[in-house]
Amino acid sequence: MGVQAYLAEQLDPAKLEDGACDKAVERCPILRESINSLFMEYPQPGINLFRPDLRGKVLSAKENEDAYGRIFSMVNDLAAARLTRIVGSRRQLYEVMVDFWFNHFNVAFDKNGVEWLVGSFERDVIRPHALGNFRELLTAVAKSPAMLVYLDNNDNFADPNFKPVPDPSMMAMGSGTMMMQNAPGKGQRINENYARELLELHTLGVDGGYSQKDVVETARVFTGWAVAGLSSDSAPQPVCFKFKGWHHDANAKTILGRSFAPDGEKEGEEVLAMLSRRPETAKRIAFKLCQRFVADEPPALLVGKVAETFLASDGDIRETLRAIFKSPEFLSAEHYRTKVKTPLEFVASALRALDARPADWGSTVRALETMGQPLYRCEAPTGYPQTAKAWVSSSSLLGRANYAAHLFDASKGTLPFSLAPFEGEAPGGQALVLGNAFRVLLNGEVSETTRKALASEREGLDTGKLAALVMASPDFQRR
Amino acid sequence: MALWSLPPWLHAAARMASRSKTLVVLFQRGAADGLNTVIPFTDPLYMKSRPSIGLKYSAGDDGILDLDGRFGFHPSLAPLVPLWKSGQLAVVHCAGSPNDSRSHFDAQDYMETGTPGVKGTADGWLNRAISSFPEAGMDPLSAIAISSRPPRILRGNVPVTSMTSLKDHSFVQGEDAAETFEAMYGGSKGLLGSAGAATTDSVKRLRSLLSSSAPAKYAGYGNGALPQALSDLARVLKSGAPVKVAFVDIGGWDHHIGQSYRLMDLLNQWGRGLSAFWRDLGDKANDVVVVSMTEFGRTVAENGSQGTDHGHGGVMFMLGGPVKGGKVYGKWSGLERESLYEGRDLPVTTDFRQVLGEALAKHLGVTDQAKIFPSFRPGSPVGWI
Repeated sequence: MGVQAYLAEQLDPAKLEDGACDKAVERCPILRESINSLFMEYPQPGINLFRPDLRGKVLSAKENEDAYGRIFSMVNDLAAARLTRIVGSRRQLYEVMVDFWFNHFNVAFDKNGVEWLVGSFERDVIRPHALGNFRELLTAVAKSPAMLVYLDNNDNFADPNFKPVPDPSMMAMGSGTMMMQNAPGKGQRINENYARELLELHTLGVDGGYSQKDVVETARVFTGWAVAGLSSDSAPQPVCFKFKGWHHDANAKTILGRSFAPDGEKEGEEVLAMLSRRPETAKRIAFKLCQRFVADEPPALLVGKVAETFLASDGDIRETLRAIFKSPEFLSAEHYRTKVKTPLEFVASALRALDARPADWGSTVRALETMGQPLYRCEAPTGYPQTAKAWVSSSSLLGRANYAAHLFDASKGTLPFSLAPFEGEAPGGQALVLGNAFRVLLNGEVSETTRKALASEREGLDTGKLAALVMASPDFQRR
Repeated sequence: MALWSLPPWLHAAARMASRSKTLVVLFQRGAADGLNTVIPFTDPLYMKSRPSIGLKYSAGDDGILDLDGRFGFHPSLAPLVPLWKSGQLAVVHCAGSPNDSRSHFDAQDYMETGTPGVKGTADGWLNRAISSFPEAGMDPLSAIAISSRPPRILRGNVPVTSMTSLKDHSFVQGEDAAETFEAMYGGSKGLLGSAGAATTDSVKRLRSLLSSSAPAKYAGYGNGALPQALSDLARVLKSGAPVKVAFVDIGGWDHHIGQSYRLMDLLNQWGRGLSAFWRDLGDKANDVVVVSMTEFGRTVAENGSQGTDHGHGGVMFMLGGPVKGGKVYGKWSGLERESLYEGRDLPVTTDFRQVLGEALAKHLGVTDQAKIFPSFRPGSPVGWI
């Protein structure tokens, strides 16, 4: 199958039979649990939202530690489930895009309160829209309990005593619009965290032409966008998005020069729609996608073309990807295999090349942590970087070499993959094994330096050791 | 060997080795609570603001450790009291970033890039600091991070050694694999090539340094990621590696709920780690300065769940030979509501760059800091070093 036929198939993942992976994922019960049932099963000491039986119970230090340990175990289960899919699914592009969007709209397990919400965020928000429409994805994110807690919009309230005053500077400019001036320190209770990241990270980008005032006005639009069910004052109820009108700032707002009349929850939806259609947003998303699929510093011409498609298709993610894949830059010699794999891409490509089916993902989950990219645990809202500059270091290269060595180390038990593809049918010595390893791991494309370095390796190394060295080579770090 | 016959960079390297002063930056990620760490225990407003999590002082028991009749350490910091008394440990209260972001991510980013309020600064200030030295980049051991990911603060043009731990900083397949690795990466250009070289260089250098001097492992660190990282760092420093700057971090300080137990545990680890680091270094401690910092402090008043929320001013700690210790530095304006930032947080009365700038100038001899902390104009010295 040619590359384009493969990509066309990948762009329509629903048609790809994926029964084996679906079956493997069935062994990950955490994926099916609702937010509420997670709160029940993994109660938080001192809060115990849904466990009246535990409220007010004083825990010993040991019990406290155990409870937090159980909560923490959720992230290992989620990571194992994600790795099962990344390694086992035939819907490769879809899994890549799930990772891309999760990372673009990052939420961190380690933020207080997000632990129980991360699973639902991926399942109910990211996955349904990963190849869908950007505006719908953006809106689903804005209303997700995980994002509302992670970026504190759940704590973004209007000041009930706040009265708008005309901004004299705007009046003097003769704009004709009555701008509302926020008087900081006068009892404002708005929280700018989500608004700022919405503009800076989710849509326009840091150079996207918005001002601090736009941030404040955006925060005012989203006052009252909150999560129901997280208050211990009330009886347990479903944890979900709720527009709390009584927390909403009911005055008019102006963002990026466009005014928004008071309209409750609709204001926010309109702001999201506007942001999703801005050329700055198109450029930012196009840039990040090209950076993911083409080069760390993608050609401006390509980014421009892809951004045009994004705008013309009203944020159709599939169409936007098609524009990248059919571009001459995508497979050009200039950009061919120039991207350095992130730790996750390294691990995924290694396990996929081996067709590995680990029963226990613990060592891989820990290795990702050692290499600096633990799943669901990027604390910053920026998500993990996707350029070589941020990943290539002595610790990460050693981490990769050592992960490969452990992967092929049979002394601790049976390998979760077969060595047959490396050894062939007849014993043929190291040269044969190396040739096979180049084919299996590098698609046969090995640099002269690597070939020479490995050819001079002393005789007597077993298959696993040789294969691990190929996996540690600079050639395998590129994709 | 006559020095003038050597290439210029080796002169520089020789000079560097002879001085071998080290600045260690320790980041307490998550916004550490300064007020329950260096406690204004004689101020009645302290207990009033923190009726359930406040710590009590009574002479002679194992409560607050009196420092100067006004401030006292959290009881978990008992291992640091001897260092305080001998003048090796100092504190700046109400220190922090002038940017008032209460976002962990932004505030950490600003403190690591050294450019508060400016997002998108590409490199970290510690990397810019090391590039002040003409021999920068000659030896990958001149800048070391012991942290799971190459930290923002050391990102930049100068190659650095980052390691998860000393134990992990070797090839599990052994020396032959290291040689093959070196040969494979020898042909790579760009980042992979330079990081590949830094990998084998640092692995080899550390192996030879540690095998020749083989400092005995000091046993006083105890458990925890930070004490173990400091133990590794001490071994590297004692081996004679010409480390100019080093970075370690410890997370988990964001105590919105149940603060007492969690802070006790973390301070225990942090204080024990620093005290063991000092004792472990022995004579070498005279060449080392540690500065510990956090992205911002926490609210003066406790919240409804026996915790504290994001605040502003925090506490910085300085430990080392040249430190003028035994003193709480920084302007303290009390806990009255009107002296607090926005009526709720300790104000920032000392810019973190002021404290770090004094370390760079007085300890490492880096006086031109215009590129390290751009747009920062130093004020009157704190005078802690």
